[in-house]
Amino acid sequence: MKHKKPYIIPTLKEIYDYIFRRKGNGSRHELERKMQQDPFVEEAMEGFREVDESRAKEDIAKLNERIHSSSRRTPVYWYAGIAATVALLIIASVGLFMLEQSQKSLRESQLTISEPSEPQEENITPDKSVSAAPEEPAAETTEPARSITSLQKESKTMAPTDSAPSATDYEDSEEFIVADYEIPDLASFEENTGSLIPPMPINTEIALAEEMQRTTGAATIVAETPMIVLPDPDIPSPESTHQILRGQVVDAIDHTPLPGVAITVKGTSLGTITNPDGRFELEVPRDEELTILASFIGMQTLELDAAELAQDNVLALEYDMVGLSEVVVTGYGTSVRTGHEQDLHVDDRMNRRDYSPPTPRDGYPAYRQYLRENALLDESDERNRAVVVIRFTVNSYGTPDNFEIIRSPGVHYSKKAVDLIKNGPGWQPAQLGSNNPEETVRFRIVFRKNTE
Amino acid sequence: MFRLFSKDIKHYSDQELLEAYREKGDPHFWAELYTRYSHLVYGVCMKYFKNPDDASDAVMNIYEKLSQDIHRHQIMKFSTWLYVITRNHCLMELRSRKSQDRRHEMWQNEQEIFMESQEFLHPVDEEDELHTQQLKLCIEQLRAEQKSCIELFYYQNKCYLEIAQHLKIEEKKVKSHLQNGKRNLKICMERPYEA
Repeated sequence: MKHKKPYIIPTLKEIYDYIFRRKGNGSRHELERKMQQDPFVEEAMEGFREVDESRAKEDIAKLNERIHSSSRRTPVYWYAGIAATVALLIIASVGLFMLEQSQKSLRESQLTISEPSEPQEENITPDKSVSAAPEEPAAETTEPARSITSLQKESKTMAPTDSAPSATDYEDSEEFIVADYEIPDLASFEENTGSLIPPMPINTEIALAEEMQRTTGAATIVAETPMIVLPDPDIPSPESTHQILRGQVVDAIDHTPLPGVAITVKGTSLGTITNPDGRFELEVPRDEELTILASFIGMQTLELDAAELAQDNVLALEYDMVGLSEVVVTGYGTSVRTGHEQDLHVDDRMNRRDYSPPTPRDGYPAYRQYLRENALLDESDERNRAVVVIRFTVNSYGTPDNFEIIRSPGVHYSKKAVDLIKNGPGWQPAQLGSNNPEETVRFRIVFRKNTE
Repeated sequence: MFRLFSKDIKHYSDQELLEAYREKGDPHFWAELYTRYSHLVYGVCMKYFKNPDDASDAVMNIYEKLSQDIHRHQIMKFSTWLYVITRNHCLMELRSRKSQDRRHEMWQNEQEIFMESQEFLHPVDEEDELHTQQLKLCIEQLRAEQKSCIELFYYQNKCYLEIAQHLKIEEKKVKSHLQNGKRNLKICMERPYEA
């Protein structure tokens, strides 16, 4: 598209000058040319005839002010910059935390190594420490052993072998202690940097051991959390705040046990199913008022309070007779063909009152007319007709896209068909409520001989 | 830096503004671009809604909607694209307001305007081609009224009013003769050359 003169958008004043014939024929012609070129101007002109000049002027000035003031707000990338910085900080700190966590277990073993060297620092000579080292950890570990995990024990057993070099090299062992002590408690480290390092309090060690247990002993945690208890009455409840509900579910008519009945606590994810004898056990929190549901396909769900469910209570389920006979099959939404060239996309949306499929802007008759006039066989083609079935989407702006050839005699006509649709009359997008979903349209284009 | 922008921004072409907005995400560029056309958007909305308040709302709605959507579309010529968007917006709005029948009625009335729906730039509007031989030939083949309207408008630079007076026809007729003449010319121009 080339213009000799750059295209200048007519101003509001020019448009009203034209409407009220305030300017000479020369400038009228100028504007008419623009209208011929650009239907945007043409249609806007029609609109401006419907409104007072002063009103339009005022409205547009206000709108432009609003638009500009909204854009003067802090630009988006400003926020984006801050957001990115914050995100980076968070990521960095999370990363550091993770790193620390992973090093903690390592540190744990180092701690036990350094433990024996601490007392020697105060009153034992380095020579003795070599012999003292294997003894010290043994004495120390016995006390907290109850709460310390097997993993830590492993590191303890490693201690004697590792402690030998650390004890001989005094400088190194001190560095070890300093490094270890710094991370759990930075403040106390700073207090003590100049003086002798105090022996690690036992409490801290236990706390650390517990922490490690939490991070490394995933298996033990699972065992601890209250879960459905296996039907072995010998296993005691791990916590007294929980109680175990036991019961048996039977058929209300012949009192046979029902296996596989779902027993759930209403409103929670707690639950179990009955065993082959119809029995179940379910551990539930003691102090809450709970409702227990027993449900089974084809049976009416039984609902009762946990308190009612005394030990070995028998739950009798009744058959649910209602559901089966009342299924009604309703047929609706038949596939409709509204024209020989078009297949409508039929799905449940068709039944919605606020749905309308994409349509050519000028209507189907005009569109078919357009195709008839333009879908022409090449002069050299000896066939009488060639059929291309094409599928494409109409997006929310009414632009046809994503062309897909379903059937075609060859690439040449496929291309022609795509060009016809692409360059053809515009489309009105589909509408579903207030949305304009992208919708697929299928067309059968028949190329015919040029009869002109 | 921003002061620099606001000085230069007036001299940006539509395309430059569009690219600047896409690259930098600064709504300043988008606001400048949109306000160049906001009065036309208002005018078009006015044509469909016949109500200045609705038209104002539509101008803001389109502005806000497009400030998001614009990144997802490939735009060849902004004004053309904006025009299509605006018109679709109005039609959609009316469609959701009015019943099927009313809508149909409106479309019927709009048929005339939609005659030239896709091809906005016509051979006859491109001045370089005005003097080509084939165009001359095609103009000769037009019906008398269409031919004289085209000649008076495009070659003698007359306005509709003058042409109407000259040919003693209505101004509306001039417009439709021009439209139809142009369409026929286009068909004629695209026909393979027959010696």
